[in-house]
Amino acid sequence: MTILNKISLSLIIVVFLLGFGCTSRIETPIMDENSTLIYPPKNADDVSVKITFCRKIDKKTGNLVGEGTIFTITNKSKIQAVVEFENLFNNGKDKLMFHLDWVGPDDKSIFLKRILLSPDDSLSIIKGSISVSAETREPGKYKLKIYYFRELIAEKSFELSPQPQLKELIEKGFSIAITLCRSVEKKSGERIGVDSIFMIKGKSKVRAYYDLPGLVDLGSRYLLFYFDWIDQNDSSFYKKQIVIDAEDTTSYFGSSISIRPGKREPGNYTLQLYLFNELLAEKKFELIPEPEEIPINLNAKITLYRKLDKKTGKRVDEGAIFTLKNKRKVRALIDILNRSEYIDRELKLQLEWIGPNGKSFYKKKIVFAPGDPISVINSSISISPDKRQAGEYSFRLFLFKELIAEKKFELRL
Amino acid sequence: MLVGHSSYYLNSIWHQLDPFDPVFPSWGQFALRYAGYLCAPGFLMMAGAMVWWSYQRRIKKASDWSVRWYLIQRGLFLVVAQMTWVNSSWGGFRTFNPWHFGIIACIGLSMILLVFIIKLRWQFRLAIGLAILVIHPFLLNFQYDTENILEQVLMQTFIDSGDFNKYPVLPWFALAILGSVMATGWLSIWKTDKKRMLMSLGIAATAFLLAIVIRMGRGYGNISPFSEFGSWSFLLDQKYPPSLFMNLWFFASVVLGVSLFIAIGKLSPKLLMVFSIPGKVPLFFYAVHLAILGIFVKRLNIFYREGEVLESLLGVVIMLVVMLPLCKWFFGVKRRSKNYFIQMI
Repeated sequence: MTILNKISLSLIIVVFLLGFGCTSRIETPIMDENSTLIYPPKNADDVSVKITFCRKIDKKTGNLVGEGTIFTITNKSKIQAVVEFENLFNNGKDKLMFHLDWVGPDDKSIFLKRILLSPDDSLSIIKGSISVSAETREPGKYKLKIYYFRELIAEKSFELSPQPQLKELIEKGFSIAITLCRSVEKKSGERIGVDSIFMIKGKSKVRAYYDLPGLVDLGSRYLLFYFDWIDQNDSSFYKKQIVIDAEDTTSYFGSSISIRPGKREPGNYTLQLYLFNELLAEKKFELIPEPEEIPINLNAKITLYRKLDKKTGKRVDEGAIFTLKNKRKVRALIDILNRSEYIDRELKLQLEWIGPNGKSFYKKKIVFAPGDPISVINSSISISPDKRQAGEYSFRLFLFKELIAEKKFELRL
Repeated sequence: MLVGHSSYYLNSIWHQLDPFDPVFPSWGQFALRYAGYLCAPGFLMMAGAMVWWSYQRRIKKASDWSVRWYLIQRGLFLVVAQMTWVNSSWGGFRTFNPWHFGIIACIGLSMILLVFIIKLRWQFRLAIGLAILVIHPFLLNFQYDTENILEQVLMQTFIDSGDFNKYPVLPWFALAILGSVMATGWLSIWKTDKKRMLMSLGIAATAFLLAIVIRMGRGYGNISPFSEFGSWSFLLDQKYPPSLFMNLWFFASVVLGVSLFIAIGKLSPKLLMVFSIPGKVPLFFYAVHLAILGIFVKRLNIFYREGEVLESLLGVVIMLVVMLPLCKWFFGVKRRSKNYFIQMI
C-alpha cells in the first residue's frame, strides 16, 4: 500500500469515527423506582432525569394532583408531565437541548417539543402536557420520551383508559339523585333542612350532596363529576369539578352556594350533576325571599325581689332597695307581656347587671326560638358583702342589642 | 440515498422522526439516518461537476449558447420530473401533487443557475460558491409569513426549508458550484490519480478543519447547539436548510468520498462496478427505485414502516438486486435511443 493510500485510509477511518458520532448514554436501559426507563449516562455527573405524570398541577401550591400512570380519557382534560433533571450544566455547557416526544399506542409521535435551556433559566424542571379528549386520543399505552442533545435518555409509559359509560355506572348502583339541604351537623354529618325550597337570608347556603354507591369496581379508572348550578334565567353561574380516584373511599361529595340577600334572586333554580360531561342527575329547587321584617315593640316588665317564698310562691321584699348580707341575692323577674304578638319571630335578648361604677358585671344571653311560648325570664345576683358594695345598681334588658327596659335599685349596708 | 429511502419506507422510526428536528433512540438509527445526509450534498456536487464536464465536452462540438441551452433544458427537465413523477412516486402515485419542490428540482434549478457562470475560471466560481455559503446564514434571519403563499414559495425556493421545499436553492447551488470547481481539478488540472487524491485529501482535511472550527465556535455558521465534539448533536446541526457547518462538513465528506472511490478504483476496480452501473443513469435509478418503494411498500402497504435498522439494510440489498439489472438495461436503451426524453433521463 502506498503512503498515499495509507493517508487516505487513515483519514477515512478518522472521519468514519467522527461521522458516526459517539453516544453519551449506555444503550441498555434500567427501570428506576419511579418506573421511568432510564438510559444512564456514561459519565456519572451527566444529566439524569425523572418523569412524573399527573392530571394537573395546582396553580397556587404547585402540587401535583392525581399523580399516576393510568388516566381516563376525558374531554377538555390534559395529562401533565413533570420532568425533573439532575446535574444540569454540570459540564459547563452554555445551552442544553431537550426534546419531549409524546408517543401514541401506535408508536407514532403525537407531539414533539424542542426545549433549549440556558444557565440563566435556572430551571431544573420542564413541564409538558397533552390533551386527553376523546376526540383526539384512543385508549391504550402511551409514552413520553426525553431526548438530550438528540439522544434518548429516558422514557415512561402511561395508560389512557376509556371513560366509564353512564349506563354501566347506573347499573352498578350509581344514583341519579341529588340531596339539597340547608346545613350539615359537623359531628354526625346529619343533613339539616333537606328540602327543595330555601329562604334567601343572612349567611344561608344551599348544600348539595351526591351519595356514591359502595365499593364499585371501576378498574383503574377515575370518575370526573361536575356540578352545574343554573339560575332562574337558565344561566350557569357556578361549576364545581370533583374527581373520584379509583382508590378513593369517600361515600359522598358535594357543592354549595351562598344564598345571601343580594347575592341570589328568588326564583326556580336547577342543579345538574355531570359525569364525564354526561348528565347524571338533576334537581330543581326554589329560592324564596325572606319575609319582610315587622319592627318589634316588646313590652317587658321587670320586677326585683329578694326571694321567692317556697310555700306560698310569693315574691318576698319586692322593691328597689336591698341590704347587703351573706348568702343573700337580688332576683329579677322579666315578664314579656306581648310575647304572643311575636310568637313566630326569633327574639335575641340580653340581660345585664350594672354596678355602681356603671359597668356591667354580669351578662346573660337568651334566645326565644320562633314558636316558643315562653315569656318569662329569671336572673339573679349574689349580694354578699364580699361580692358587692353599697351603691346604685341597675338591671337592663336588651332586644337585638337595643335597650328596651331598665330597673334601678340600691344596695345598702 | 438508497439507505435513506429504504429506511424511510421500512423503518418504524419514521412514525416518530421529524426530519427537521430529528431525535434517535439508538446509535443504529442515528447512523442509518446520518448516512443519508451525504446524499444531497453528493447529488449537488456531482451535478455541478457534471455541468462543468458536460459543458467542456460539448463546447468543442457546438456553440456556447446551444450547450448552455441543452444544460438549461436538463435543469428544467429535472424540475418537471420533481413536480410530476417524483412528488407522486413517494406515495405510490396515489395522488398528483405538483406544487412541491424537492431535491431533484433543487438540482435542476442549481444546474440552470450554474450554466450562467460555468465559463468563469475556477477561482471566480470558488469565490461565488464560498460567498453564497458565507452569506446564507445571514439570509436565514429573514422573517416571513409561512401562511403567505408567495412569501413561502420565494423563501423556501431559495433560502429556507419548509413544507413547500426542504432544499432551498442557494446553499445547495453553492455546493453545486463547489462541485464544478472540484471537477476542474479532478478532470482538468490534476493529471494523475495520485495528484487527484492528494489534492482532494488536502481540500477535504481543510474543509473538515474549517467546519470543526466553526462548530466549536458555537456561533456563526451553527444553527442547533451540541453537547460535545463528535456527539450526535455535534454532527446533526441542521440539514433543512443546511447550516454553514453542515455544508462544509459534507463538502469535505463528498470530496473525501471521491478520493476513496479513486483509491478503490486503483486497489480493486471491480468493486466500483456496483456503483458505476446506477452512476451511469442516476435519474433513472432515483425515479424508479422511489416508485417501486412507493407503490409496493407504501401504497400496497407491504411492511410499511414495520422494521428497524436491520430491515432497512435488507431493503437496501433487495432494492440493489432489483435496480442493478434495471439500470444496466436502461443504460443500454439510453445508449441506443435518440429519443429526447430518454436522453434527458
